[in-house]
Amino acid sequence: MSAALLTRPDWHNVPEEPLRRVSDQMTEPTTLDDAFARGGDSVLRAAYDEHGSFVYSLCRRTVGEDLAADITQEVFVAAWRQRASYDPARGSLGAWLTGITRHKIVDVLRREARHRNERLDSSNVLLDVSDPVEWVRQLGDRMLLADAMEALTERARAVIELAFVEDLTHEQIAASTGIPLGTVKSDVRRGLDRLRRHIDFDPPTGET
Amino acid sequence: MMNDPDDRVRHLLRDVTPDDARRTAPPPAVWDAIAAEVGHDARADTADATDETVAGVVAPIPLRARHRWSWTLGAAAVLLVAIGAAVIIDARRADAPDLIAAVDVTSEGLPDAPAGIATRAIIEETGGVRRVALDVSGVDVGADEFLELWLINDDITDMVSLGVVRNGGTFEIPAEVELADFPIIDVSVEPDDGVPTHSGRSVLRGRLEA
Repeated sequence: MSAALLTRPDWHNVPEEPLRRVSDQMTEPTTLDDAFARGGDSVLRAAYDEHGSFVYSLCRRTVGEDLAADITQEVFVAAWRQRASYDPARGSLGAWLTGITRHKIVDVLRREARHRNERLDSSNVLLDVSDPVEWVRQLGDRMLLADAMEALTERARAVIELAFVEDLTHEQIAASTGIPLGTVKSDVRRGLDRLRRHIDFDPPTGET
Repeated sequence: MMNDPDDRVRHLLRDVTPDDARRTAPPPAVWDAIAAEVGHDARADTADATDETVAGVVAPIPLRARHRWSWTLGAAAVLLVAIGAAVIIDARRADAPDLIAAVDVTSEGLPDAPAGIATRAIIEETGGVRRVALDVSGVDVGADEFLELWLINDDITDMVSLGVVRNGGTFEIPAEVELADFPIIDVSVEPDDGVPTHSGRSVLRGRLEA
């Protein structure tokens, strides 16, 4: 008996309304996103509480624990000084902070590569990946998506996975899960809107 | 590459690993250094942080529970069962169902059940897929509750959820489940609390005879 069978098929049980309100924070700019753009007391601390672990974890996975604290500090200081350039309408604060973090990380990797007389775009000993810049970008986006997926309802998450990961058509998803076709379509559309807000965010200028 | 954001989402989702959902909090010194560097504003923030009014200025931001999502593991297995079944259903749709069993399910002897409810569960097999058909329209549930259909073993130690029952319906039995191992058909009242385990409040029960 696999453990999975002992849990409910998750799309059946999700109360739609209360959970949708929670995940709507992922589509529409949240209060924190808006407040950060305006600046003001407490918002830097609130942003740090909400996103500090994300930024620090991304740094740890790319430049290691020793440098992660310093870069996290640099990211939030830079974000605060550039807060006027953040536009909540264009994407989430988390995605914007990830853009800043990515550029800081790439700067560090470039410095380290210079010390070793290597080019960053050649095979990198530290990372053991062929394209570290793209690797950092993808890692950051995957972490953002992991958070964004978690904020979806269980049903929407299941539908998104079936549509995008398993490549099922909307009709196949409806047939295999019993979810009405119209609901499948709206889950995919709304889910995609929410996920998209978390990636593909142009990095702030002057950060490279 | 992958300039279409939808394509990028699609590609990235395939590659997300459990590691990507893991977070480590920065050491406390990091915030102190940030506050020191940006000066006045953040020092005021730090003072706020100590009396828990940080979120009072900004509307409270609910920090999501760090119960990290696991669809790459558990949920995917459930979904794959559904996909496999759907393929079989499509392939064998024309097959006529075979009756496996008809089981009387009643509220008799169940302390949380209203007395005198009885219905019948029909188990049929079509093209290799077994389903339970059940009508529970005689059972009332509260606004914040729903009914859930289970198959349970004789020891009442192991169970499989077949899904939420609204009035009635047909529920697929996962291919891995041996009915002989899970002979008890059970309908429970579940509070709408997100807890996936059986509530312990059964309102209908019947046993499949060998």
